[in-house]
Amino acid sequence: MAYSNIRYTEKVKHFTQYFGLLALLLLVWEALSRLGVIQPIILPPPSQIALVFYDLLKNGSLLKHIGISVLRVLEGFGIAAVLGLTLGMGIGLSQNLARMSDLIIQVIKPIPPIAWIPLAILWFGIGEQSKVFIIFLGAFFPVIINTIDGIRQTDHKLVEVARILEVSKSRFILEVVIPGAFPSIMTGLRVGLMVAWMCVVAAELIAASGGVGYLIMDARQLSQSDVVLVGMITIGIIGKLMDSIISWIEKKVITWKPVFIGV
Amino acid sequence: MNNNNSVRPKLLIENLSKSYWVNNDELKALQDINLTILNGEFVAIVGSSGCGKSTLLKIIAGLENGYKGTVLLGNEKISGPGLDRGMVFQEHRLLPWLTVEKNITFGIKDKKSKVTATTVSEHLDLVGLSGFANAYPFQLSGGMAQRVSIARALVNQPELLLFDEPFGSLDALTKIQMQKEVLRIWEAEKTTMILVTHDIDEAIFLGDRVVVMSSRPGTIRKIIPIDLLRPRDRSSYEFTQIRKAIYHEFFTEAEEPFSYAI
Amino acid sequence: MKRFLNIVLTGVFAFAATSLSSPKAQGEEIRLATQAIPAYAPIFVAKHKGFIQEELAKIKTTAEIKWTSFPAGPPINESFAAGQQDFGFLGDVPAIIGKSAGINTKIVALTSSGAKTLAVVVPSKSAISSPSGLKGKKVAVVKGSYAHHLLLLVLQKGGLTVNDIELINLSQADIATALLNGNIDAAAIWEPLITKLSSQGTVRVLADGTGIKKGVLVIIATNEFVTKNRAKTKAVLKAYKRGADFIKANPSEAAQLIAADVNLTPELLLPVLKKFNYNPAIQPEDIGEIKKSEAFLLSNGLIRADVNIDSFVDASLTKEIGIK
Repeated sequence: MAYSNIRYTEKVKHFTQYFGLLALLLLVWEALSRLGVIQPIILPPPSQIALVFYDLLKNGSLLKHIGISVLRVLEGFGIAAVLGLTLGMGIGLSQNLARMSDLIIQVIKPIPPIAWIPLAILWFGIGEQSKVFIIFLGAFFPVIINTIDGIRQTDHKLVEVARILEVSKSRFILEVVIPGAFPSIMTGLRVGLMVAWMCVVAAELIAASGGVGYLIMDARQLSQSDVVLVGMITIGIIGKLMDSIISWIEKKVITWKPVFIGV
Repeated sequence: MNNNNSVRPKLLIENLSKSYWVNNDELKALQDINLTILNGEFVAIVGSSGCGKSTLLKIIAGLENGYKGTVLLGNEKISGPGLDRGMVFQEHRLLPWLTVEKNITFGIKDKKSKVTATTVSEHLDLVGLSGFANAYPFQLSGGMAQRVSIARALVNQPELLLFDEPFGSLDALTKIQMQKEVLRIWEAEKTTMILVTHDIDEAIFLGDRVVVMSSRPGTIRKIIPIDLLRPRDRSSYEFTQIRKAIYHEFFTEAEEPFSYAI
Repeated sequence: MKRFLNIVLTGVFAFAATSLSSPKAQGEEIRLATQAIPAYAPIFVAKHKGFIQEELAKIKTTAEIKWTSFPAGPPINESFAAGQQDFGFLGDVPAIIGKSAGINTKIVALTSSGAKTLAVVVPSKSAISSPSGLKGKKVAVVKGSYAHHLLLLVLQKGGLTVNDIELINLSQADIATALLNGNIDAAAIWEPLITKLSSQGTVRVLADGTGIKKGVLVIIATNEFVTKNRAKTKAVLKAYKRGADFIKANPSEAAQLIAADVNLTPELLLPVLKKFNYNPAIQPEDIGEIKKSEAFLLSNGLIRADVNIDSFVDASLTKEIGIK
């Protein structure tokens, strides 16, 4: 955004709008806690949460848990991306494959990853594999569905041009279909990464001994609501960071804006 | 006009008819079209929306099949699209992710030829866009993008260049500019061109002949030769007379302004 | 506009009135949080025999007893934190954790104790023969339970600390599956799971609480309930004592009566009942055990605020009803 063009008063107004509501909520929350209206075990005050946050950061455990979870997410997401992209492209480009796979995909898609936990434990045990499997399931469907969509949305008008220019099938796929599908594919990857991260808590229900989801479940066992909240907030922040990174990649890859055809 | 019968026509259309079926009703898009186009000619086809002129062009381009009658390019029956018939559409239809230069290169069949780079820059010059080689389509104005589209169509030196209402989405001033450009390119390249338009002035300005089509079903009502020297003055007496004559073709019919989309 | 406001406000107050009035109204409900394990057998006996109602009738009052069953202590803490329970039956360790986290309760009696009722087990085919063999192994336990404490004591016996093993937090149910599938190397569990798995031949006991942890389990009650309903509290405790006496006098009959409540067949339940001491009175040595648990929690960072056990434990109620 071209902030330099907006007057100073406008900037102040925007700033207040972004952060104002949040700041107000925090103040009210803190005040109610101190007045004893909200009990700390039900909802700890922001000051307590901040303290716990600081402690966990200082003794390095929070960073360690973040690292463990991020690694799991990247593994699960990585597999989902590779499989989702290849299968998605295959299904998008082949009518036969599409018809064969449609039923299976549509039936499995609505099943939430958390429901797979019992099977995951039976198939993969309680180690890393079952957790990565859950995360993979979460990320896979956004990637494959958006990849298929992106390919199906290939502009018919460009197809006509390609026919006239006698473009070979392989060139057509590589130079017209896939670049055209990039925006959809990037959306799929972005959503997939987000869902992968959201599945971390579900995945770490499977006998984890580290990770942010584990941190939350562990704190729950010990009635430490403040740690639970720290865990939740951490998930939110890391999720936002991951999204920003992928957005940045998206901007770098797609240097052309989709052009509206016609004025 | 070259009326020598020993010269083989570039494009020969005989008894062309095409129908569509909508809900078990037959819609006659084209009926008994007969048209001969000679090498190097510029033929403009004019008619209101839905008269079948675009369908006719698409059949010539090979994008539509299932017609009755004969359509020959030289000796060959037209059965599908190909590099020998370049086409410029109403939208520029450039690949948004390629630069201007790469878009034109995209049209070249044999890219390994060393001639490619020179050809591309030559055609860029031809359409007056030298210096814009590295621009992306989204950075170009409508008229500029359309010019790239023309360059791309010309780069394979097609037998025919087909224009399907190419300036319909441009503003009036740019449109006149582009008409002049096309005229200049035609005079430089001498490619046979067929332009479909609903703009009568455009047809008269550009064409050696103007084919007037009527709708429902689409037939050729009249073919008017334009024997004026180019560049033509739109406000000259002769131009105005021809314009009147063509308007007359459309507005003698007491038909409501009606169009259906095929 | 005025009419609209009136309707809205009436609605709000009606809602508030109904939601705030139940279930805390006097003389209406007593809410018990239990676990389906033999450690709390007396209360199930009391349930079947109607002892609680009889004791309440003696003090000329009635109440509806609301029973909720939980899989372990920590979920009971959650329920207390939400203000949904009056009495809870759980181990000393989770009781202390709850208090430290700010739940306003006190220990009003023991439910039972028994050093053999909690144990570290290994798959029967396991090569591990002593606590030191647990080094580097995957050991599962319900974190925050009294078995967690036992595990660390057993590790200590083998010269190990918690850092020498891979500690995995699993529920009792998941531990059973994991032991069957060989996904874990050992686990710290309590009855009836020990007997169940041993009788199936799945596990054998590596070490139990003998000599290291008595396995004190307690009854907690909210301070609010005890203050407002001292007589009712004593009625519940009396009913519990009667249940305990019944088990002592008629173990076979008791086993038949409550087998379904604790997920064991009467034949398997009978020997388990004998492992427990169901006397609700709080002895000085019990307080000592509870203090050891508190120290364990504090030193392992499982609680952050120190809990004063002397004020947490209220032995006055059991004294007043004459239990020794």
